[in-house]
Amino acid sequence: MPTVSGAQGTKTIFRWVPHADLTLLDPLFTTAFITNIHAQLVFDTLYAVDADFNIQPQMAQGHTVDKDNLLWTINLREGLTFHDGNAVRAQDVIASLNRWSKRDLMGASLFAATESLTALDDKTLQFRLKQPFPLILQALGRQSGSMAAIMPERLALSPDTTPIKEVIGSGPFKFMKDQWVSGSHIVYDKFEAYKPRTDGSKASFTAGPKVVNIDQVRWMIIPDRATAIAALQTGEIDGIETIDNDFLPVLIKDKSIKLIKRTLPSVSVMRFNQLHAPFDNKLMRQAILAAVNQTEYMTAVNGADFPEYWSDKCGVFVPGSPLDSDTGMEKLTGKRDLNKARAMIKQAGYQGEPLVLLDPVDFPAHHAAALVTADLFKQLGLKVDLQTMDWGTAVQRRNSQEAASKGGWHVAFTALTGPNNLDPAGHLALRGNGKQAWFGWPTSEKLEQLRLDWFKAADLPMQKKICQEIQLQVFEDVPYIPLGAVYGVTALSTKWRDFEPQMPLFYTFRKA
Amino acid sequence: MLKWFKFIRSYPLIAIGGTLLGLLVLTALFAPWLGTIDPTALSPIYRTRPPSEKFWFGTDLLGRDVYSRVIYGARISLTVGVCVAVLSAVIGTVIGLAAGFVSWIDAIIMRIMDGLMSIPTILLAIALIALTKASLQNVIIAITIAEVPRVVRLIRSLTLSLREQAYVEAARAIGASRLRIVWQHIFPNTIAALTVQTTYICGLAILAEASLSFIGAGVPPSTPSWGNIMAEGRALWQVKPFLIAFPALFLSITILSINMLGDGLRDLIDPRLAKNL
Repeated sequence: MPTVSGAQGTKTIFRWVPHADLTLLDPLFTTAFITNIHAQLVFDTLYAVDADFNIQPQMAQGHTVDKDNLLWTINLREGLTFHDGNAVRAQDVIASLNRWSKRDLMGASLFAATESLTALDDKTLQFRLKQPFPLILQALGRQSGSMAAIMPERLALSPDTTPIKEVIGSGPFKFMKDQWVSGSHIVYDKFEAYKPRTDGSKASFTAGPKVVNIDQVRWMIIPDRATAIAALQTGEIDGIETIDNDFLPVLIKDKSIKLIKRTLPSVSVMRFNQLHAPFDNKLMRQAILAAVNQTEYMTAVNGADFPEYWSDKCGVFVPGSPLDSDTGMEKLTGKRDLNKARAMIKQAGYQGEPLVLLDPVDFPAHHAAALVTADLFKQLGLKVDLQTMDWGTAVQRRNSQEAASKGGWHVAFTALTGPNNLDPAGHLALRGNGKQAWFGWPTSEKLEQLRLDWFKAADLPMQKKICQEIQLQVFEDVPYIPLGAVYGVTALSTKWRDFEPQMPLFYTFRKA
Repeated sequence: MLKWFKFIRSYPLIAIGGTLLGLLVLTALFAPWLGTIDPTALSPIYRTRPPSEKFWFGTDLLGRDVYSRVIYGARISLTVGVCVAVLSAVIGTVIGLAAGFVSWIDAIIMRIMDGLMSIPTILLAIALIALTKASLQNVIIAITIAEVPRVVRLIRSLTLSLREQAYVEAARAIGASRLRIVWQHIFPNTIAALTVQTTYICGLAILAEASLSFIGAGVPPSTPSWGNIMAEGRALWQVKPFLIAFPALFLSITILSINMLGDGLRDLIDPRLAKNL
């Protein structure tokens, strides 16, 4: 039973408390980070990202490209096998990529630039492009939600409108569906037939040789953090994905536990409903931007005692990541001017209507953000209707495009996970395609065009330049306001080592 | 003075309970003048500070002063307790008298009351709150509906007993109307027991409000009620126990004082029972 620490008989089991329960198994049908982690364990991708955010071949042995960058030939590694025992073929890859292209924007952009994708043989596939697509490898190796997961052709050919029923990948872990008890535990067994890459010394983020050192990973769903910590301290579990900062003073003193700062933060977000007054008016959104103080939000969420675990200088992209920049940041980090904000609100013609703020009281970070915002709005002379609800209700409610008086909303709070915030491809809050966009439904042709330009950027300097323009445009259109970045803290028993700080990808774990 | 002293010696529960409850009522009434600040004012920089000279009861997860929230929270708790007790007493008495005096009404009403009483108070209140929007008014209504059957059953049983008394027979014999009999001969004789029952309902209502708020089904979370304060602090009770300890202490003292007052009143009304005890 899982109460025995570490090894069980001859099996080495790692017992882990994830940040949330797993509900959706198909990575193309949700941006939920928990599904993203699940998918990284079960599925493999043609290319992958290392810890320095460089693209590396993963399932691909390598590729050749002609001088016009129009013909890409990718060879698969030998010995790749699906969890059902069948070999991975180029036909499986093509079917998987076709399905991915129908669900993912970057995939759709790649396929829009593709004339044909064909299998030259079982181990070789070829992209023939109509026009160069410089980010083709980044697209195929995306590590965030909507990753280009490779699955058997029979599953990939199922309708792209419904999630897959079977979870069969070729990744280093097998999803043990028969042992899955929703709300209780999820089990992943080591895939014995997995062939790790032979180049490189060890895995790095999603790239490199994924040499699995444990027989089983068991996710234990324990929603109450205090209970999870008690279980870790008594050795009933081996690690907790995310620890509230309030527990850090206790855990720092515990010699049997080590704390690991995660390198990819989640970004807290304030989102406006732009279909209805008053936030359909850009000036209103700009007024709020002029008043938001990230330090207040971050201290409300995390406290002031451990500032190393949060950032109040968070722009559009993950702070410190390749596409992050200071461009235009004075709009967010400069002196906060409430009088100027009040004048802008007056100029925008605010009529004194009550503003509905969705307050998910069971989600401490978003609850804190809602209360800080309500306080700020009152200081700005705005009338606030703080509506409390649970997180599930808030997620449903925010999808309503109705006016606030008919069950809609004005302001909602959420967070974007680090992997989705590294570039414009997976950045949901940047979409400006009106009613088809993420909740809030902003319309910004400029932002949409800049994203398309980024897909075609020839090199990193050009990508950076476009991302600077995107940041400036975000501070002009204000489709959302970043409220700061929170670096998760993982607690791990000292019996284990080699935790991957970007994501909990268990192929790096080993016994200390 | 001597008379008061004798009363206190004879009925210490009334004296202690009444004094404690009186102090709590005064605390609630004079909250703004008791060194408090705005109980909803955020100050994230002072988040989860332990009790100190500056923050007597510490600060909560958003830097709000727990002392101010607990003191203002007394207003919510006592408002709920008093309102539910009064409403339950009035509604329950009217229905109970009707049921006890008119047999066809009795048959219908008591089945409804039995149905309501078969559901635990807190579950019934949760169900009623779920049908409406969280607000102080709706919490009072929900708990009142759950508590009314207790009063109805008490008053009905007293009425059934009282209506067989000789003085009621006499009143009937001289042609007094039903309403006159109820108002002048039965109702006055139920007041003693009703008073005791009302104090218990007051205590139960305060506890029910705190329980509802604790599970997120009571007054809106932004309102500083004792249940809400404890609910927000429960995740950290192991590392920041003061977040729960102070509102819990005030809640306990309030319930204790009301129960002591209720027990004391019962002794006062029925001294034989007190002696036997």
